[in-house]
Amino acid sequence: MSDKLHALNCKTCAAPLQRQGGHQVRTLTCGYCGTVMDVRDEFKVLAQYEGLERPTSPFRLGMQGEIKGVMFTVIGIIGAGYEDRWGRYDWVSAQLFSPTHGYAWLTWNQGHFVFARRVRELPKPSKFTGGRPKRTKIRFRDQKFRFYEGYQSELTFVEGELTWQAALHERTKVAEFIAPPLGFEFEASEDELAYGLSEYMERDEIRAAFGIAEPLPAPVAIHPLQPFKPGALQTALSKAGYIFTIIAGCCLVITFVLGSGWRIQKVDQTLAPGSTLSVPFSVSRADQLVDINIETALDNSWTYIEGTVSDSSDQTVAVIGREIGYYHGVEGGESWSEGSRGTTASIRVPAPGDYRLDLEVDPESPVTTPGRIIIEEGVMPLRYFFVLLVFFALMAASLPIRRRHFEKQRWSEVLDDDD
Amino acid sequence: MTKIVFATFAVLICGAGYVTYYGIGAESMDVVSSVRAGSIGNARSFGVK
Repeated sequence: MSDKLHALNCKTCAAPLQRQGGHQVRTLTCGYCGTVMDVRDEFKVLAQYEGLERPTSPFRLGMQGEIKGVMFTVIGIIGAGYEDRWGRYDWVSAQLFSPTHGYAWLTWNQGHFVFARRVRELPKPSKFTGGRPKRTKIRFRDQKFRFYEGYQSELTFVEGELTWQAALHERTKVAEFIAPPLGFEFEASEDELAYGLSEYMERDEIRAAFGIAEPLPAPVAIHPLQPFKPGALQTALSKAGYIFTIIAGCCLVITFVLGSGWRIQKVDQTLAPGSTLSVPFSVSRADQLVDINIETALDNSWTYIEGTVSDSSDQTVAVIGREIGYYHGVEGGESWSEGSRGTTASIRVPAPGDYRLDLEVDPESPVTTPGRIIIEEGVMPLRYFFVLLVFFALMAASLPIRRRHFEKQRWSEVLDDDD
Repeated sequence: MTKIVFATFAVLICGAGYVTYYGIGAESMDVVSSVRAGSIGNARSFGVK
């Protein structure tokens, strides 16, 4: 029969069939009765597969759609799958034909679309062992591909035109290598070794291209070729996070250097139980914090100090009460310590001027200790820039963490396989 | 989206700078500050030496 024949009837059930697939088509399978006919030998019946259950997919013979600027027609549909100890995996592939660009495949697999074409160039290395070469990489067209998995697929459904004499239950050894969104496959059957280059396609793109109106099932899991595509917000948060982590870090350092304030009073005094101490000081600006630092030489003991800050009119501005205790020792060969020998109180005065700090050591304090009182003004806290530093660092890390989680999901299907 | 995020982060940094410089909210929690002249409520009186 001439290749120019476009319409014919099935040799078995006389159902109307279409020939759209060009001169490389080998077989035409009737979708009604499962009769497989040899296109190159007067449509001689080669086999008949009765009762074939059409797998669920968005493909229909004759569908047309544009992929990568090329108009393709669905001329054939196959169903395939394989089973391992983790479960059964099935997919549906549509044989595509373009009069200008030849043949290709569009595969529907658990809600994902993959476009594939045979290639004649050899990858490096080009040898296919038929095994499971873990951690093996190949290079094809300056792209590195990493081994993903190997399996033996079985043909479970055929319909329409195909470029080879497809037989139900025929098996093909496949080794998949990935460089998302691209994939490279070695396919070895009994008499042929073929190479294919695949590319992950977005669902919306294929739906629009082929006019698929029916709702598609949601994608299941991460497809091996599915690229990691963060949202615009996540990308912006991460990008800004990197920059502002550096800015917050610099601000923290500057605050640390400049924000410790300047000393306006220092007094050394022995702090005996019941003793009192009066420390005058002058504050030049009231819009920043004043730190009152009390340092002692306590050793495995404690003391309690109360203080009142008064202005020049003896108006009480602030009241402070602090217990200071420091303990240390060695236990089980390891030294330990608890508490602190000093304390700091941050206060705010109502106006610039002269003030007085009156301190009293609690009469019940058990020890006398040397003490030093240091008063500083212009003190700036570090906490706010520190919190921002942590926040921005988390924002910066959010994208890499999410990408790592995505990749972990991508490889989770195959990493547990020890074969 | 990027501009909005950058602007938001810039506001946060500027805000942190403002509260850091003036120490807003960083006073010691256990320090009792008087709000009326001459009265501190039930706090102890220590006397002035």
